[in-house]
Amino acid sequence: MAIIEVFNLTKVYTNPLTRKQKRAVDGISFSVEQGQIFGFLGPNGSGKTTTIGMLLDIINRTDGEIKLFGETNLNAARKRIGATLETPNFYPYLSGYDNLKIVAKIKGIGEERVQEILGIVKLSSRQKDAFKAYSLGMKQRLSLASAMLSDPDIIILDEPANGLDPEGIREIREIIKGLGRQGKTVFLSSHLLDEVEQTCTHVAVIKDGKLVKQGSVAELTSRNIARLQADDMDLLRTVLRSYGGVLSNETRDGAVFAALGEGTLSDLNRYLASQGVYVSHLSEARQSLEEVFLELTS
Amino acid sequence: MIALLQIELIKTLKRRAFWVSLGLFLLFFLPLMIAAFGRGGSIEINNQKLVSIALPQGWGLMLDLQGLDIASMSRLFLPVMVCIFIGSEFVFKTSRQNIIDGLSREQFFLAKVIYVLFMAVIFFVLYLVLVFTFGYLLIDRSQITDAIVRGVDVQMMGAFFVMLIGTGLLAMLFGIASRNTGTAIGLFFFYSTVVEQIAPNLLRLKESLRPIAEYFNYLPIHIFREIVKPGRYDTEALSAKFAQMQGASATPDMTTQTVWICALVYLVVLSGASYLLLKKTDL
Repeated sequence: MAIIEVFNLTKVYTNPLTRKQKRAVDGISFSVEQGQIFGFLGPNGSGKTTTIGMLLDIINRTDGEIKLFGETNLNAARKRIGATLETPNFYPYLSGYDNLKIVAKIKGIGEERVQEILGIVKLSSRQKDAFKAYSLGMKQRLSLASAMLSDPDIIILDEPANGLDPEGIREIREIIKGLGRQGKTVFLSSHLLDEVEQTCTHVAVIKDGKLVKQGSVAELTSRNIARLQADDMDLLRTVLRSYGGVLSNETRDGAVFAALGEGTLSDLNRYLASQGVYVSHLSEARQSLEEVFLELTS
Repeated sequence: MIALLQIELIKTLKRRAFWVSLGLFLLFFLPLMIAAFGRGGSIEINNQKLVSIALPQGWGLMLDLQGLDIASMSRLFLPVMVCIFIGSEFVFKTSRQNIIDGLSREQFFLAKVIYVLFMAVIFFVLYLVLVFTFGYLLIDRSQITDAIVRGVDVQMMGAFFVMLIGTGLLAMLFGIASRNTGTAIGLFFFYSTVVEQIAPNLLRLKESLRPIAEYFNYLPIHIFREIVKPGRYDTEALSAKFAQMQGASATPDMTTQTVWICALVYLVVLSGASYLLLKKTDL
């Protein structure tokens, strides 16, 4: 069941002086199914935060439709969402506890949950300190606590690991994976592609306001690529070029990586043998998400 | 509604700026009231001895004392506090976080109106407490002819409350429009001094432009200043006493009905403009 549905979402900014228009988000459509950990990727300025802002109704959309939980009334739906956008936004003069108390009152939940969630993000001992006295890692954890406070069905996190040390990143990753195990839907925007690959089940890639790819992480990273080695590498490359099923090939790390259009590794192996090339290594190679991302956005 | 009030109370009462501002406000008036009390209730400004702050006249006197009264100082303190609190919602980006957390834009707007009303109540209560405390102690009980609070005093209090709300709503509009604490305060004082006071005075210098200057009397700050003039309500006693003062502002230059209609229209217009601004802009 799709619980986030976006149709033809568009945001156009108009310069009031020059009347020049900029399409920050250009007619994108995607959907997120319940229980997915969905990575929303894109270079800086690609329209990620604008899209999330429109999902959360803090940015007015120029065109398009958004459905959350099958409803177009986003006001009601937002109470079932926990979200943080860009930097943690709290009242700096209030304590962590008071900041979460405000969130609890907005969401209409009891204060006892505030204590519980502060314990989960390991901020109980600093709950009375002013937010402005927190380290960046503590601010991020409070932000995550705020997003999880109402035990929401969807959690939207925009760069949750920003500024965190490796230990903090690992903690965030574990929390997100834990949410996934609980069947929560997580919508995650991050630049840490390695983290996304380890954490997310599905991703969408946006570039210049347009959606360029969407699918499961497995689909995106397991393109049909063969890793080959042979005693005569020059001959191997020459024969590969003559094989119609190979779209491209490149040599790195002492091996040839061939992108296969159609056919299987067995077909390729049979062809190479027929041409007198006997490979010492033949395996399916997997692209990292980072490689896929760079290929799509560069 | 109650949750919105509770949220605004958490934000306000735990902020040092709130208590510092109230402290400064009291620091300004307490010595004045104590000094008046020491002189048997009379207040002197520019070497002119004014009437006693004893009740019931004290209700009106403390609302029109050549700029040193509670109404004038409230028009200074209240907008500053509103600009600080509402402007900082945008500086801290908590306006967007409140919406993300589940408030609708309408609820966020309502919360800001509640905050303005709360601040108006605070200043109104301060006025009541200050005037009542000192005014009651100074009553010459042998010469009591009036009630401590007369009908005209209630009218003046109502006008003062409308002035507080109106000034707060104007500051709210500047806070939402500028999305910045300092800019909001700067814009408010630029508007209230340059646009509403200096500009019409400059226009009056030229004979042909004088009719245009008269339209400036209908701008909000001027209306809110007019509505609270005690001479409109306590026409006999206060007008006579204020007339003794040079430059006293007891004589209204606009009918009370006109001023009230304009003030109430401004409450609606300022609220509507703030709401539309909040609704139409990205947070």
